[in-house]
This record gives sequence, structure tokens and C-alpha cells, in this order.
Amino acid sequence: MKAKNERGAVMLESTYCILISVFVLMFLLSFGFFLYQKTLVTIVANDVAEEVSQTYKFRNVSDSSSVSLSDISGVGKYRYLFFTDSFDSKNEAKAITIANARLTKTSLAEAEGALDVDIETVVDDIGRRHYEVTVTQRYSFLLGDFLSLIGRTDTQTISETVYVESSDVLSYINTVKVTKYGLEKLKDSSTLLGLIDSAISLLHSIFGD
Amino acid sequence: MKIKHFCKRVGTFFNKYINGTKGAVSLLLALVVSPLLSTALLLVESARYQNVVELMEEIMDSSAFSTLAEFDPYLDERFGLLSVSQGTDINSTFSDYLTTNANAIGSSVSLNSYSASGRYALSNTDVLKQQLLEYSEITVAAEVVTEGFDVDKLLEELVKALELDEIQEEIEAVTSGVEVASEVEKLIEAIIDAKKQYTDKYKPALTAYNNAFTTFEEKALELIEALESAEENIEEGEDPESIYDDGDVKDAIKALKEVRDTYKSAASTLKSELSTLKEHIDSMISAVDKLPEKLMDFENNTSDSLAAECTTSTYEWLLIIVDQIATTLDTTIGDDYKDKIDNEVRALQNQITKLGQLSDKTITSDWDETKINNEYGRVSITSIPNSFATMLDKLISQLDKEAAVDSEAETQMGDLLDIVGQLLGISGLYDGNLNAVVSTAYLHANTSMSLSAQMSIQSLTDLLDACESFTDGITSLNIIKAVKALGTLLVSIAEFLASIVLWVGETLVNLYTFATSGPKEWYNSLLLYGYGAYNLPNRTNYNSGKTVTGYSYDKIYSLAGGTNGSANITGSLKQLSTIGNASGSDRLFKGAETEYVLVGSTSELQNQGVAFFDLYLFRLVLDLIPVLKNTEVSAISALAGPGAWVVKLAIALAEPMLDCIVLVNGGEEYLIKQTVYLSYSGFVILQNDLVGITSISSTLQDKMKDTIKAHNGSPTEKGMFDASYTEHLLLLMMLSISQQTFLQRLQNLIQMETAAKNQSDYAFDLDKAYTYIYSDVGYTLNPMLNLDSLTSNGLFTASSQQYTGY
Repeated sequence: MKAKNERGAVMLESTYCILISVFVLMFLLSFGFFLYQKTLVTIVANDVAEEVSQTYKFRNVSDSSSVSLSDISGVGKYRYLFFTDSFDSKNEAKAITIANARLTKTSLAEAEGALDVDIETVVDDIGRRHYEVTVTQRYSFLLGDFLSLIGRTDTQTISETVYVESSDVLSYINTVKVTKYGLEKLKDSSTLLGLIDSAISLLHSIFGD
Repeated sequence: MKIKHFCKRVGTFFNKYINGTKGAVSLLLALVVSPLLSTALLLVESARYQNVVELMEEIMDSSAFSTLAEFDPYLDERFGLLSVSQGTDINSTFSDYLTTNANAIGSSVSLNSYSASGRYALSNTDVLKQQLLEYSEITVAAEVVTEGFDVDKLLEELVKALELDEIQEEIEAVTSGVEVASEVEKLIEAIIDAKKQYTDKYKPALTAYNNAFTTFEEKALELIEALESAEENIEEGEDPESIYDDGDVKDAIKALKEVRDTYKSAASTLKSELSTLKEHIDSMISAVDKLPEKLMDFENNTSDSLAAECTTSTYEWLLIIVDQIATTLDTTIGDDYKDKIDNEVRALQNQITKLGQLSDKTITSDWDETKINNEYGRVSITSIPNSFATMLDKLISQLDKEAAVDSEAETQMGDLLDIVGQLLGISGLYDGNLNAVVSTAYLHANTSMSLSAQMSIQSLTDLLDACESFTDGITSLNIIKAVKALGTLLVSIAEFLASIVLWVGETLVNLYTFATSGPKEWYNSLLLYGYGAYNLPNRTNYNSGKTVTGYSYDKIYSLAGGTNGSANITGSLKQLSTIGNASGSDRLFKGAETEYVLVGSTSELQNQGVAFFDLYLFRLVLDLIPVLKNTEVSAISALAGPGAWVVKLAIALAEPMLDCIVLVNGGEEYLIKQTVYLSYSGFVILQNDLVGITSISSTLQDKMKDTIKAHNGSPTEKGMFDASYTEHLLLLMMLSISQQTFLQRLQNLIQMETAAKNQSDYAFDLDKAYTYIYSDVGYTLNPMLNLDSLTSNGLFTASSQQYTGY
């Protein structure tokens, strides 16, 4: 049967299409905000980790652009032996300041609650360590209700963990030297270790390092 | 109408160009989607922008970090310090790394400007100090622990040992001894003066007086005889007084008056000399009366002192002398001598008066010899016995004998002083191989020398001279010489002890700082100065030692041009003053670097010499109380009686010298000694410690052994904190030089060594030994849609600055 009159069909169709398209686009837009914010938190976490790596031993330095003589002379001793907690907490405070500054300027979502930055120092090997930096913030997104379509709520906690190698060269070098010193001491006090050391030295001299 | 007309035109347009309403939906979608897509793109670009900024930070960090990798290998290997190598240009190295790394992010960014420069060089003492502390925090602490040093206890014991309260008390004890000895000396001098007065003045006056009376008596009898003759010749009725007109009578009167004057004068002289003699006796008696009490006070005040047996022997010796004098005076003169002499002086005065009143007619013809004796006879002087001089001579002779020690003690004292003299002359002052004289042109900064100016070797030799004089005095049967020498000796001891206290106060200036600032500051200094001790060569390890991380010191010796690695210990303490702070042309020291940090001279020999002297004084202070308190040393010294001081002092001076000889030959000594080398049981330990040390000959060792009558056996050495020469230098540095001076001298060593090592490659300058890199980079972010005039400015340009360091 032929329709007698097709007038208004386009309008009707376009209404459906537009509604669906707008709906989809709104969802994509809200999801974009979410992804953007997640990316941003990752970038900020990296930035914070970078600063922490560079300035971990300076407890009172805000970032690597301003290191003074008093900062250098105030580094102190035994920072990874006895005072790790103190250094971690100082660096967390520093990291929160840096992260807050960047996120406040660049976020496209509304922050819910306080920013949290957690820094863990992880020992990898003798003298080597890396920092595990976790930036956590809860956000409320524009058009966030659309995120419920994929099972998410309109407020999301974004938590990004990044890892960065320690740049504390002196600590690493000195730890290696201390290890060498300890082995020398043991070698001096142990005939067997002395023999092993001599054998290793001989092998080094034959085959190179 | 206008709206209707507009709609009509739109309808015409659609009909003509868009084929009615076909494609309207697409157009509608395009209009709706475009803003949404623009928003999405904006978000993407924004994220990209953020990412690029972060990447640039990482690139800068990575580039600076890579530049830091170009560190100076010699500074690291030798000193454990990190600074950017001066063989590379920081800016160009950084730029190379930066441009290469920036390529990794493609065309997202364009670099506008970039530069890097060094910051915080090791010439800054704060920077150097921080690196040293980080280097030492484990290694030096471990060295100290493995050496068995309990840091808190070490500080406590050092403060106790160097507090010097007991030495201050000893100075007071010795000073009170000086007063007593001075009083005894005055007493003995009074005895000698009294004897001299008696023999030279009183006795001749008495003789003259007796002779004058005899003459007077003769002339008086002649006058009586002349008067009797004149009376016989007088005629009856003639005036009896006319006898005085007789020529013989006149002559007799004249003669009598002449001898009367002589007699009167002699009486006057005798009276005067007797009074003077009485004054001398008064002095003696007064001193004898007071001295026992003073001696008792001296004994009571010093019985608890460090050298109690020395003060006791001095007390006993002086007490014997005083008792002997008191007994002699009591038996010779008696208690009533004052009244007797006063009466005699009064009688003489009466006689003088009476003789003055003698007229021509006083003596008449009826006088006889008895009457003359009754009227003008000699005043009998019984207060001073005729044996007075003999008794005093006998007393002095007895005192000479009492003062003297027996021949065995004499030999012991003489031998000990000889041993001390030989020890002070023993070779040990420096190692002749380490003889560099550095040019000041190679130093980073000039620092003033630290010399033990407060106490020269002269004070030691003065004390030894005083000991020798005392020994000479108490062995030469001369009481005056002995007592005087005792006074001189005690004065020398007091001055010597005072100079030790002064040396500690002036030289070990940091001790009180540590004591007041507590263990934390003490520990920091221990790490800092420990770096100096365990990473710089000294005269005992320059040819075989190494830093805590294994850098051999013989490389420094070779670098400095040293050719003979075997030790060449020479020079005696007496030669110290002949070694000057000469200027030379050497580039660096050969091996006495720790000594340089301690002393600061450009002459390596002088650094060793002054360090040796400082070490000797330090050991002297540390050993003094253990030696003075040691029961075996006390027993040895007690055998010398009044010479106990000499024995103890000789041992107190010799013991630290033996310590120094052992230390500079690579041995170890307890900081707080409980076993003294020069004691019955300690000598065996000394013999063991001296094995292989040729500077102390077997003859001298045998002499020491015989002199102190050492026992054979194998006793265990006792003490606290066994320390080598290196550790002694560590303590001396900690106690005597400031951190600033320490760091400046260390900078000089770093400058000299590193410059010498790299002289063929570049001129090392500590001011350019940078530990941080400051980088400054300007860049432009390139957006996906590049609108030249819009995106080359504003938000799209950025700059970043970073300090990256070790």
C-alpha cells in the first residue's frame, strides 16, 4: 500500500535521529570529560613523580627550579635508613601542592573532596630504589549522568599510580661504596672471602669487566 | 512581510540548489555535531598540551641527568666526591642531549632557547661538607665501631681525662709544697746565718771584750798602786786631794781612761752582736715552731692528690730536717735563751753606762782587784754556749747526710733522667720520604698554621733541668742545695702542669663545645673528621694504606714523585724548632696529608713534626693521671725517697714518648691507659710493642728494664679504646681545629691532587667542580592545527628551569 502522504516523515525521522545522535554525543562528551580527566591525572602524577624524584632529598624545596645552598646543606644523613617516613611525608606535602596547582588550572571536572598523593619508596636493589606515586582525586563530571549507561556514577574517583626511578645519585653511589667497603672488611677478616675476591679479580683481569 | 519574504527566499534557495528538503538531516547533523567535535578536539589538544609540558620536563631532567653522568672519575675514586668533569663543557653536553631527546617527541615542540651551567661547586664548604657527611655516614661510623669506639663513652672518657680538675688540684698541692720548701730553705739559711754571726761577729766581739777588761783591770790596779804611792808621799797637813796632782797618778788615770773607752766600746760591740745573734736565733726558733704545722697542713692537703706518695715523701723528708733542727736548737740553746740574752744585754748596757760615769776619783787607793771585778768586771755570757758553732756545724753536717738519698736511689734517678733525655732525642719526628714543600700557588685557599705555641719544648727541658738539679742536690750532701733544688723543682712542676692545662685550653678548643653541645654535634664531627682520618694518608700508612673504599695511598705518593716506599723515620723532638714553614715548588704532598689538615704548613716535614709534638702533648695529658695513679709506678718512685718526684716525673715524661714511638711505627695504644709501660709488669708489653722498632736500641731497653726493675712474664695490657696513630690524629683534629679550617685544608688537598692528576688534560679548578646543573629551556608547543600568528605566542610558549644535582 502506498502511503498517500509522506509529508512530515523527514521531520519525524530527523527528530528520532537527532535525539539519538544528541544522546550518543552527550554520552561521548561526558565520557570524553572522564577520559580527559583521567589522562590529566596521569600526566600530573608523572609530573609530581618527576619532581619527587629530583627533589626527594630536599625536604623543604617546593620544586626543582629553586634549590638553594641552605637546601643542599640541610639534606641530612641517613635519609633512607632512619628517616624515610619523614622524607615521605614531606614529599607528599610537596607533591600535593604541585598537583593541586596543575589540576586546579587544567581540570574540566569538579573536584569532590581533597586531593591525595601517596609516595612509597621501594627498594629495588642495593642502593637502588624507585618511588611509587599515587595521585587520587574524586571528580564530578559535566553530563556525568550519561556515564551511568556504562555502569558508572556521575562522580568518579580517579587514582593513578606512576613509578619513577630515584635520582638521588649520591645516595646510590655511596651505598655501592659502602657495600664495597663492607665486602673489603669481610675479605680482610675472612681468608675464604679473600680467596674468592682474588679469584674474581683474576677473572676480571683475564676476561675484562 | 519581511519574514514572509525571507522564508520565501529560503524556500526558493532550497528548491533551486538543495533539491527540496533532501540532505537537510545531514546538514542538521553537521551543525549539531561540529561543536561537539570541536569540544572533543579541544579536550584532546589540551591533554596533548599538558602531556608535552610534562614530557619537556622529563627531557630536561633526563638531559641534565645525563650531563651529570660526565663526572670527574678521580674525585669519585679518590675522595668519594661527585662533581661534573671539567674536561667537558656542561652547556654543550646538555644541549646535545636536549636536542636529541626533544626529537623523540616529534614536532610537538620547537626549542627556542636552551642553556645549562654549573652551580654549587665543591669550593663551597657547605656543599663539600654535605657530600663528606653523606660519604662518611656509614663508612666512618663503621670504622669507628669496628675499632671498638663507643662514641658516647669515648666522649665521656675524653672529657674526664682532659677536664684536668685533678691536675689543677695537683698544681695547688705542688704550689703549697713550694711554700713549705721555701720556709725550710729560710730556716736552714737562718741557721747558717746564725752560725756565721756567731763565728764572724759575736765570738770576736766576746774575745775583744774579755781582752779589754783584762787591760782595764791592769790599768785600774796601776792607778790604785799610784794612788797608794802618792798617799804615802803626802806630808802631814797637806790636802789629801793633792794626790791627784801627782804625776804618776795623773798618768795612771789617763791610761785607765783610755782602756776604759776601749772596754766600753768592746762592751757595746758585744751587746750589739749578741742582740743580732738573738735575732737570728729568734728566726730559727720561730721557723722551727711554725714549720711542723705548715708541714702537717701540706701533708693533709696533698694526701689525696695524684702524687700523694711524692708529697708524702717530700713531707717526711722535710719533717726529718725540721725535727733535727728543733732538737739541736733545744739542746744547744734551751727554752730560756731569750731571758738570758735579754739579761745579759741589759747587764752590758749597765756596764757601758757605769763605765761612762767613771771619773778620775771613782777608783780610790782602798780598791782592790775584787772591788774592780765587782764594779766593772766582765758580764758573764752564758746564754750562748761555747759549743754553739760546733753544734751548728754538726747540725748542718747531719742535715746534709739526712738530705741525701742512698746510692741506689741516686743511680735510679740518674738513669731515669738519662732515659728521658735519650727518649726525647730519639728519631721519630718525621718520615724523611715525605718531604714535599708545596707552592702556595697550587693551594685553593691559604689557611693559617695551627702550632702548639702555648707550650714549647723548652718547658720540657726546663723541667728536666730542675729534676737534674734536685737529683744533684740530694746526692751531693748539701742540704741547702737540695732544699733549694726542691723548691725549684716544685716551681717547675707547677709551671709545667699549668702549661699543660693552658695547652689543653688553647689547643683542644673543641672539647668543651662537644661537652656542651652533646653527642649529636660530637657525632657529626666524628663523621667529618673521620673522613679526614680514614681517607687521607698519613706518615704511617702512605705506602700501604688505602681509603675506606679502597683507593691505595701509594698512588698519591707516586703522583707526587715519591720513589722510595719504605719508611724512613728520622728527626728528634729537639729538632722541631729547626724545621721551618719554607715555601717550595711541589704540586702536592707525598703522604702526610692528615698531618697537613691538622697543622696547615706547606712543609710536609713541619706538618709531621708539629703533629708529632701535638701527639706527644696529647699523650702526655692522657697518660699523666694514669701514670701518677699507677701503684707500680708509685712503688718504684717511693724507693727514691725525696727523689720520688723525679722518678714519677721522669716516667710521666718518658711514657708518652714511648707511646708516640710505638704509634708512629704503626702500633696502637690505649687512649686511657691502665697499664703503664715503665712499671714492673708493663715493661714486657713495651718490649712486645717495640719489636721491629729500631729507633729504641736494645741497650736503652735494657737500661729501662734494669732501672725500673721490671718483672718478666706475659701480663695482659689493660686500657680503654685501643687507637692507632690515625685515630689519634682523628681525635686531635676533632679537638683542635674548626670545621671550617678542616674543610678549607681538605679543599687544598683536593685541588692539589686533582690538578696534578689531570694536569695533562686540563687545569682543574675547585671553583668549577660543580655538583649541580642549572638548566633553562624555552620552547613552543606545536598544536595540531597550526595557525601561525595565533599559536606562536601566548599559552603555546613556555619555559622551564631546573636544578639537577648529585
